[in-house]
Order: sequence, then structure tokens, then C-alpha cells
Amino acid sequence: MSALLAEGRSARLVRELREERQWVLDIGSSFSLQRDCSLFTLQAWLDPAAVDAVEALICDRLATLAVQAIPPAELVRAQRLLINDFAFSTETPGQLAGLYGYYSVVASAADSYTYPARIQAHTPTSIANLVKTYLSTNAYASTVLLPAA
Amino acid sequence: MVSVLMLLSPSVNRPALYRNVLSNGLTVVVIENPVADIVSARLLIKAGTGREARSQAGLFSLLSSLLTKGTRHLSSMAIAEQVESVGASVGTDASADYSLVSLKTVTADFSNILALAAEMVRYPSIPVAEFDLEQRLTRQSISSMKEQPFTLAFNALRAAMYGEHPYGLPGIGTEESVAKLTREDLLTAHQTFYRPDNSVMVISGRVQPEAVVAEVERFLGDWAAPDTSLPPQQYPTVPTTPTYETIVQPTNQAILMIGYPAPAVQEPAYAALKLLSTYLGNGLSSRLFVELREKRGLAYDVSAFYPTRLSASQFVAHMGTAPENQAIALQSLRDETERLGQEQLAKDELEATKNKLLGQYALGKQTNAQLGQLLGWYEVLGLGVEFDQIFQDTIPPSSIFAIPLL
Repeated sequence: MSALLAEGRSARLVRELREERQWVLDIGSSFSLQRDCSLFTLQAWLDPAAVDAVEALICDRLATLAVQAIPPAELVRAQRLLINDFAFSTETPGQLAGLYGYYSVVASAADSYTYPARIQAHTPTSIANLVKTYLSTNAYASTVLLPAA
Repeated sequence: MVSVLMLLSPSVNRPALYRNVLSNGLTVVVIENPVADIVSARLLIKAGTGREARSQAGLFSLLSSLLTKGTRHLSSMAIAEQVESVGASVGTDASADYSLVSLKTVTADFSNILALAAEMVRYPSIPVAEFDLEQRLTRQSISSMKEQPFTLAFNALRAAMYGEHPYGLPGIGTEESVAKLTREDLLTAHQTFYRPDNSVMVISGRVQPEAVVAEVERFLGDWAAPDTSLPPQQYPTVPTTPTYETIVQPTNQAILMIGYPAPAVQEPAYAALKLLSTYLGNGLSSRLFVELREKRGLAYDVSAFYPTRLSASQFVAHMGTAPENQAIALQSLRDETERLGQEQLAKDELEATKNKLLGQYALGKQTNAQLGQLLGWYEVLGLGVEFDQIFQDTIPPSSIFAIPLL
């Protein structure tokens, strides 16, 4: 979902908010996998005057994701991005040690092998269900940092 | 045409390395490294900040950022979609001595993305709207740099040390120079410098060398060099008179920088100065760190660097300190740096520094992208891929018994 929404210029929110509407200077998303409650975040750099409009638009687009299945091509794009990212991050001994060490802490080292298959297994329906379960627009924390007046 | 590949390193442990020059003058370097199922390719164009007139500072930086924003057949968004739909990455950059287009893909997608990169390099359209946007964003970036004390200090140091030399201005340009750049300036620079006989293509990854050279031939083989020759490269001499400058800014930390004019990469002292910057400024065991931070508590952070440059380089020592310690800190930074000219370095210290430099050098070329970047850069600098080995041989690793254990 994070890749789908904000990874790369052709991702949903980047395309709409930065490239087309030009409401934000930049927008990104991240997902920090943790042993207990993980964290899904979206962050944007923008003109203070645009904050409310951007937040409302993001909520609206998330709500749409929960009810409208994404086109298969868009899902494939996100899947390839993530699976290739995984390949790109297994080049050096340091990267591999980090990967296996991290998975050992949050789950088990062997779970890192199944990551590409688990990404591949998602369907437009499973994504919509995940959005319904986890990305509720009624239950998020938002932090806004404004320049001193 | 018949391509003759020359195997340069019949190595056991090292990836195999091939170098070839196409009939249009494009140098192609292939590094066969089957470790991961990916390919990294980098096209280095021998033109960067060093080729800019002072009034056009930022020219190559702006040009390279616009290469991904439109070609004769593709819009900016179409380029992004092509790259992202296969989970690849394509980037551009400009630095002192070259401009760069880089890409990374899984092996199966390499050919398609190489074709796209070739289109970007050969036929950028620089759409007016994209030019305006990028120019505006660049000016915003330059303006926000004024809030960063380190950048402010380094820009002033560079300006003082380089005088009229193009290295004297930041690669991103200045507010005045970028504001004056036009789309036509970019197209002219592209036409003048983006040519096969002024470029080096490096491909590293799980590739079959003959096949990959054939792919490069397919997409870049008919890229014709213009009849005109490249403009001659002449660097102005750099100032030799010492200067001192203070900039006042309301911050909690004073930044001190000392710069010494230093040799270009082709000069014999290059390797020795790399050793010196490692000894003085690299890591928690370096002299500046131990003396000024650990023993005397003068520095929040302290380091030294000596960039690899085609023309005149600089040797810079810098530290962050409390404003009230400024005078004593500056004197101590100079003393520690210049003491090397009076007192010989102890043998064990020299040995340890050599090992540190060689170890870090090896760690700096682990990925396909890092390895390709390094070898391509040596080609651009006129040293050839062989310099990778030559440089390491200049600094022979020492007996492990000489390394202090703690």
C-alpha cells in the first residue's frame, strides 16, 4: 500500500498531489515493520496554506481505496517495485547481515525468503480489505509542523 | 561491426572486467558479476561544473535533472511509468568533472530500460513547463542552503580558493546564474558535450559480456559524434594568496574550515594526500578526532577531505566548535594539520593508515553501482579502469603485525 500510494512519480498520491495539482513539494510514505504494532505513515512537504486541503484529499483517496478495487496493472507495478527493491538490497554481505538480523528480531531469519512470494500473493481484493482494516480515516494521528510566523 | 572484447582481469576472486570502444568513440566497460540477479549501468559524460562559464553555473546540474522529464517520444510521466512499472530505477546527476545517467534493474528488464536511458541521453526534449518547474525548484533549493552553516562556509571557502576557476561555484549554481539559464543554454550544452566520443558506459551485474555489448551497440551504436571537435578545456589558475574570512550567522555552533590548494588526480602526490586525509580526518581513531575532540574537547565534530579532481583539488580540514572556543580551535586545527610537515609520521601510524585506506576502498566498491561508478570515473579522469589496481598498488598493504590491536 505504501508503494502503491507514494513510491515513485507515477504512484497515486505523488502523481495527483505533486505532479498534477502541484499542491505539495514532495510526498512520501513508509511502513516500519515492527514486532508489535507496526507503523504506516504518509508525509508531505508543502505550503502551510495547503495543509487542510491536502489532508482532506489524502483521506478521501484512502476511503476510495477501501471500496474501489485497484486496477491490476497498478498492483503489479507496486509488486515489482517491492520485489526488485528486495533484490537490490541483497547485493552486499552487510545488506544480507542486516536483513537476516532484522528478520531474526521481528520474526525469524527464514521469513525473509518468503517476502517476495507474500508480496506476489496480494490481489486487488486483499488490498481493499487491508485498507478497510488498517487505514481508517477516523483513526489516525496527524502532526503538522509549521514555520514560525 | 565486429566487437573485440579484451579481458582485462583474468581473475579468480574478482569480477571479470572488459573494456571496448565502439566505432562512434563510446567507451564501454563491462563488469561481469553474477552475485545477484541485477544489472547496474552508468553513462558518464565528460562534462560537469568544470566546463561551466561562471555566468552559467548550475548548467549541467539543471540539464541532467531535465533528462528524465521528456524526450522526443515520451513525456515526463511516461518515462516515470516505464521505469516504475518494472520496478527499476533511473537517476541523473552532475558533479565537478562529469554528468551521469544511472540505471538499475533486475537482469530480465535491463534491455528495455537501457533503451529508455539511451533515448533520454540522445533526445531530451526539455519541455518548457518542466524547465520552468525545475528551474524554480533549483532556486528554492539554493535559497534553503543559506540556512545550512556548513554549506555556507564551504561555499565561501571554495569561492576564496578557486577565484575564477569553475570549481569555485557550487554544482547546483547560484541564485543569479540559475535564474539566467535558458532552455536554449541547456540544449546547446547537450549538443556540445553529450556525444559518444565524450562518454563512458559502464555495465555491472549478471550479464554476458558479448551480449551486453551488443545491446549497447543496438541502442547507442548509431549515436553519431558531431563533426565539430570538443571545445578546448582550459582551466584558469587558482589564487595562491592566503585569505581569511568570517561569516556571522545566529547559530549555536561555529564552523571552521581550512583549505589548502591540493594536486589533481594525475599528479604523483595524489595517493599520499589520500593517505593524509585518511590519517587526519577519517574516523574515531584519526588524529584530528583524537587530539581535538577526545583529548581537548574542542570539537563537536572534526574531519578532513581531499576530493578526487581532474583539475586543481583542495585539501580541507573542518570542525564544529563552541563559538567561544573559535580562536583556539582554529589555531589547533591548523597546528594539528600542519604539524605533519615538521614531524614525521611514526611507522606504525603510517602502516595503520594504509590498511585503513585500503580497507575502506574495498568496502566502497561492494555493489554493482559502486564498482561501476568507480571504474567509469577513472575512465572519465583519463586514468583508465587499470587505475583501480594501480592506486591500490601505490599503497602497499602492510604486514598485519604492524596494526595496533586496540
